[in-house]
Amino acid sequence: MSDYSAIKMSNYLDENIGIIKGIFGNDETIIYRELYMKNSIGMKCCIVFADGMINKQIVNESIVKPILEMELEQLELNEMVDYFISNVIFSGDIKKSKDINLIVTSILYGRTIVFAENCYEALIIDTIGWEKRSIEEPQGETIVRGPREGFTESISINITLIRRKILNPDLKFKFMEIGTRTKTKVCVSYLEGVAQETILKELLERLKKINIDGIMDTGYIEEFIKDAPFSPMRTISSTERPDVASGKILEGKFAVICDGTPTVLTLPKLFVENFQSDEDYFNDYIFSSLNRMLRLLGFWLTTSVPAIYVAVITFHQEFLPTPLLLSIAVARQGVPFPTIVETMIMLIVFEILKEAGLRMPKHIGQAISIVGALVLGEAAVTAKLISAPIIIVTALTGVSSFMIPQASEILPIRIIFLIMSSFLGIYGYIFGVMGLVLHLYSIRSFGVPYMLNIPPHSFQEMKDTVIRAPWWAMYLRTNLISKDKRRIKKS
Amino acid sequence: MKEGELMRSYKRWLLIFIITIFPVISSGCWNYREVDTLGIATGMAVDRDPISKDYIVSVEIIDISSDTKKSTISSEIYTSKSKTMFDAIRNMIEITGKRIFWSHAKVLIVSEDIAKEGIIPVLDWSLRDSEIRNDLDLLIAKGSSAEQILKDKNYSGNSMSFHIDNILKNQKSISKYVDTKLFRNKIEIAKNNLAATVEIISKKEINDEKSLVVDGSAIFKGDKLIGYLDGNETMQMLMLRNKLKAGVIPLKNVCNSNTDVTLEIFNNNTKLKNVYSGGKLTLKIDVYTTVAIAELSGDEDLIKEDKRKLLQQDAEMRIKENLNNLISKMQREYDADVFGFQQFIENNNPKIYKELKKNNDNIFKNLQTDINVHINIKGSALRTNSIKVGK
Repeated sequence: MSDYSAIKMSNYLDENIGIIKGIFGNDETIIYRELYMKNSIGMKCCIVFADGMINKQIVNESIVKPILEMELEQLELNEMVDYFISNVIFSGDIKKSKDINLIVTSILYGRTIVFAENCYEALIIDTIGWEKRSIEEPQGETIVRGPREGFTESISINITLIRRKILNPDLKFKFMEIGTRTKTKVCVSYLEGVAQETILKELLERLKKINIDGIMDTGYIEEFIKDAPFSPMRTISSTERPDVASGKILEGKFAVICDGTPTVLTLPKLFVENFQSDEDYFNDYIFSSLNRMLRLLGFWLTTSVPAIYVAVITFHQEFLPTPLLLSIAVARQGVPFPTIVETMIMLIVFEILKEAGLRMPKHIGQAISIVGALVLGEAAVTAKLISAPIIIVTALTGVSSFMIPQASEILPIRIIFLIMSSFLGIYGYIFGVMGLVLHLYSIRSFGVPYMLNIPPHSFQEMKDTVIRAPWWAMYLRTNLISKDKRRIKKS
Repeated sequence: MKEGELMRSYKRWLLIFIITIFPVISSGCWNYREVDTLGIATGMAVDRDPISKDYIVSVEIIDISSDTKKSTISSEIYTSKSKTMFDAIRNMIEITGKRIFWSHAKVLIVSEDIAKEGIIPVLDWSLRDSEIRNDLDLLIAKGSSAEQILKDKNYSGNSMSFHIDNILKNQKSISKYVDTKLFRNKIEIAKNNLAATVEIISKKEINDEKSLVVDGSAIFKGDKLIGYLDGNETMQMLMLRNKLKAGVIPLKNVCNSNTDVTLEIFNNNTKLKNVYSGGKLTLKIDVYTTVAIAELSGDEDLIKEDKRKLLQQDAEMRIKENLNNLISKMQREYDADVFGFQQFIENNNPKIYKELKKNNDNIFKNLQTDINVHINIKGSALRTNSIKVGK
């Protein structure tokens, strides 16, 4: 959007309308409605709004009707504006401005502008009334127990969803606009006194540095501000659930909400957050702890099973119990490809099926499972294109990858491990694991080590990592992230 | 980008490139082999040509035949001949077409005549090769060539070696042969105060059919075979070695009656104690055995308290007699300390042992033993009396 701050408002209504018309050109969705007041000289004013963005009832009842019914004599220069605010217009959110930039963006955002004769300022009235999606349970993060609501595309609704959970004046929202053309509203939310100011400063600085024409989702922001930008590891986590966002704000973390998307970023992120589901905190702690361990096992399985299979089958046949070796040897009889090629093919096929299932319209989704399971699985084995154990390996890898709540970084790790072990066997796999561990320990998220509290140095630090300790035992917040460490006050 | 920064990023990519390319070129495919290209060996038999003295090595290799629907696992035996073991084995590629993979081999059968001349050439290769596991079972073929044992026609399972391995795995409940793992055997042979024992496999005639039987053990002095123990003697030997875990003691005509009893051993604990007095070394051997009556047939009901006492005394006496016989047989006939008595003395009384060794005494041959057997009959299984007709 070009900059209009050079243009000055004049005292004449027609000139001011001319300026706005000049800016919008022949945009037919912008409505200019001229109104005449009931006074002797027939004073004129004009309201401007974007069609479809406003709530017509509010505009009619609170703006048009009172202006048309207003009776008054001539006022001094610019007095009309203040008179309108205090005596005429029925609206809680109303302000005056002579900034053309603000006026233009307000029109675009669904606000109504009132220009009046003999005034060099205009009124901006909140009449936002576009269609919004209702609050639904997010598809990607379904749970059995816990709140069912999810964020929507509207930033104001999202903010209320968080505010309703934390009724505290310390809950702060800092607004800014990102996108030189889209002017998208972005909001940083945190709990003052709990969150670290240094992290806030760093976050705001990074957000300010973003210089792009427009953003459609928080994913844009994430890539701009994340630490370790070349790493497959996500150092900022995201959620569509207000309870997750609020829970993290309570821990002293920050939420970044962006208009137009239900996905909210939370930061700083720790490695353990990959294995935490909000349901862990609602369910019994023993059950939740076991689930956490299961997810860790799942992470190991989904990253390592293909690599270990290839290593054992092609390098370390002595690892296997004799009957297993024989049955694998039987299965591999007559298969034309080396094991590594087989594994790669099947992993790629699995990713293809996953991607195709995602893109496919729901009504023909069944075709994917039939083609995937029967044709690719069963038939490929009988035709001796691939051996049967590979199907098991792929299935195990694929299924366990869905177990981890935030699983974006798994695929590259899996492929790297697989390639390493295909060259060097278990030795290569161990190289890969060492590389991953070194990398994990080297990265940080907004100054907080990614592997914070792993391994734990005290029992308190372990309470929300591998296990989920009972709530009454987690009396401290995470070290380094929060300023006020004590969560449960001593009684 | 500034020049320095460009340089740095260039260096970094070069480093990453070098690190990735290194494992690729330095590892190559030195150990890469697909499962289906392996000839999986399950067992090996070593014989010696009596005239040319060449080693005849027979290897049992898994043979997988598959059609579209079903795959079957069977085995085939390949034989090769050469001056040395390793050469013979390598030559086998000419016949099999596959490189033999040894890690899953279960048994190593050595013929009697090799054992008599010295088993070390065979052991050396087996223990030196990186693929062969140290827990391979070593067997001596008695009465027939080792190859004949592997090729036994009567057995119809998928691999003879697996069958023998299964027999050996259940050694614990019969105790009539010693479980000889390769590494244990190496240790035993390397010790000069212990005679090694190796399980023996032979063809025995049971009801007009020749079957393979693993029974008894071979006695080695140094690396040479000098004699055999039968199954019962092996059990007694294990008892004296304190290695007996389970087993069965059949007793005929207990207490001079017509009653036969079989005792099942549940637990055996043998304690040794050496007494040195007047230049004479005496070994006190206390055998504590917990048994149960597993079988009882005859007129006498030996379960009642007073009668049980008699049974216990009789069993103790018989076992003691057997043990004494075995010890004296080993002392006189073979001069082979299969029980590890000398080792015990060396460990518990090194001074005396050194002294005796200095005097060039034959410690084992001159050793006096004093055996006490303590049997504890703990029950009679599901029945509390003997089954009698008319009562």
